[in-house]
Amino acid sequence: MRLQTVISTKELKSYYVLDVFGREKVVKAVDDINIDVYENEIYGIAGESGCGKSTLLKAIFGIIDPPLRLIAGKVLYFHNEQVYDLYSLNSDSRRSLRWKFISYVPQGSMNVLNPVVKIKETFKDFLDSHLKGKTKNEYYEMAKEHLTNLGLPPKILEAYPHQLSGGMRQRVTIALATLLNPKIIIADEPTTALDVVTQRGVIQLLRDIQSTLMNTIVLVTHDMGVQATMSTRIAVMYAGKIIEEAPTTKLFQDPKHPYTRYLIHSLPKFGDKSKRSSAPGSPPSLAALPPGCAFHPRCPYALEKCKSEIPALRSYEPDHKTACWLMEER
Amino acid sequence: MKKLLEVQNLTKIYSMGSIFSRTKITAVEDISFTVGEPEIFTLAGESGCGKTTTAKIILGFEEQTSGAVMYKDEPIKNLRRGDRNKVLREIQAVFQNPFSTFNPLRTVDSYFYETLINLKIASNRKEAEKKIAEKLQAVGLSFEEFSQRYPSEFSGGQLQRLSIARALLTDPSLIIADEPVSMVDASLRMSIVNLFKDLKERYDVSVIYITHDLTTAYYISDRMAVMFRGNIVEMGPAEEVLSNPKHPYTRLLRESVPEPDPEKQWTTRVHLAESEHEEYLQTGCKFVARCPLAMEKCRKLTPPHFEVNGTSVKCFLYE
Repeated sequence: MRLQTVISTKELKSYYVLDVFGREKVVKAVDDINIDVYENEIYGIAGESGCGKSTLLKAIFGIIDPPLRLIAGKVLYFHNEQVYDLYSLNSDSRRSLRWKFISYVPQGSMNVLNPVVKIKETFKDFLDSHLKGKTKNEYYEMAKEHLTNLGLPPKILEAYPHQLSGGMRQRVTIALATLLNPKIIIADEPTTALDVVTQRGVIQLLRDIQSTLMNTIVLVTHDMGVQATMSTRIAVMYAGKIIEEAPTTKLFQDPKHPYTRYLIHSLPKFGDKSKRSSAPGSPPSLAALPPGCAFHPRCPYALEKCKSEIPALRSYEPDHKTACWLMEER
Repeated sequence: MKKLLEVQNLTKIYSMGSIFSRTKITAVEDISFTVGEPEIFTLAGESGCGKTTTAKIILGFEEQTSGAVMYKDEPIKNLRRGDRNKVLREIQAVFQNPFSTFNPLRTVDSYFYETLINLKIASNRKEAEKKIAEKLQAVGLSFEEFSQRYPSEFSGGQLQRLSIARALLTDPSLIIADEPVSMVDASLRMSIVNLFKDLKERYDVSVIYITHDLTTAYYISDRMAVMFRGNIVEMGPAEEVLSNPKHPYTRLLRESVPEPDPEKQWTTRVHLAESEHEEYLQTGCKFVARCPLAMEKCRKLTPPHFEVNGTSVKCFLYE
């Protein structure tokens, strides 16, 4: 059975164009990205800080504000048998897709709740601006029902944000983002800055939502442990590009790209004290990328070709894409 | 193993709120542990468990409410009053955020010279340079790529190495590292963790490694203590504590670590506390509200430490 695609990006390029003392500085945060996200999957995007993963999410959600610019490419949404080209839609139709078709849980979202009103007011305002024409109490009822469905105590609606713990606030914002039953939830580091037990609670909630609504989650996190427990498919980003994409089990068992190998093999595990080593060197600045493959200065297997030509992301095995010249040589 | 640092019945109480509604939060409650020479001792726990407060008291940034910290069998308070420089030389700190460790408007090397001059370790520039080069080499950096540069010219991983090198300048016997790798990029994290292991093995430096990350704690530490709401609930050899956790809280914590192995999935569900505040004020065992094995007496009495297989567990189950 062919899986239904819900989001697709075509040669997406989005750069930060900064003006530094009259000189133009270009930060290539999202550079030529082609991904297809399918229905009913958790698609993980992994990578270190500054690799462009958050910018990619913004571009997918359609919040490109200066200095970030869309340079080229398309983002396609597939909704109700129709294809929407995000960047050719007018703002009204874009708005109508947001939260109903695609919703976004930004980074540090536990701090988005208005500190001076009760949680229920935030829910009411959100529903009012999207549904319209219902009374206050109907909105409160809807909020209560939604929280109960997600297994959160409805009494938190009466609380102010500061009365809740960080983990609870994070789950409230996830509840807020899923209020209109979106087909796609894109979440940027939803568990970062939370304690392990709380993190587990948030992961549990996201998974519950996914299995009851049968929707799609695009999960951005640098934490490979979280990726392993949640995602069904993972894309690894390095310096603005996707360098490897594979189903989770495959990626962890048989990583192909040298960077992915470092990323996975450097993780310490319980019951194994053998020496772990990190990749040499440090990640490049997106404003001054090395020519050729961006990883070549750190790669112990770099070939002559890697220094001048950028490898393309290709399938060398079914479902397993890699952007590395070494694969070509084999 | 020789005792280097001993913490005895340390307690720290913070008062919060206005004069009308004052609440007392016991951030650290009657904890005791020793750090041997040389050894990597980990204080692990979630945010708000008191691990950083403990470090601050040892470093002298905070005053304890009661209890004592002994350094080489002498109260650290007296040592500080006597020869302040000596304590500063012996105990050094490495902090969480490498980007805020150094002032962005000052060159990084100025910190190194300042440390050497202020603590009277080097008397002239030449001597200082020799010392700096030696320490930079220990952390895998060269003198050339370091001198006359500002913090913004280094990556997070490099800055963290630099702050370790700066701590090493005084030839300390103890380094207190508070979450030293949580802000470092994933691909560089293990190189910093390995560095601490190296320091212990090559330079006989003891390390108090403070972290919430149990996997790196397992990887580097000799002994560890798990803290929960101001108490040490379990303490012993890291291998035993993490491979065979005994306290229900340690078990929950150990089980909740998302492991980088897609085969390992959780089969049980967790229950989270709605507000963290109440757990501090809990009488008896602080974990009782979330403990699946809680008994009647856990609500009323504070459990003492029981010895089980070389670890000490603060739980009535092992009575």
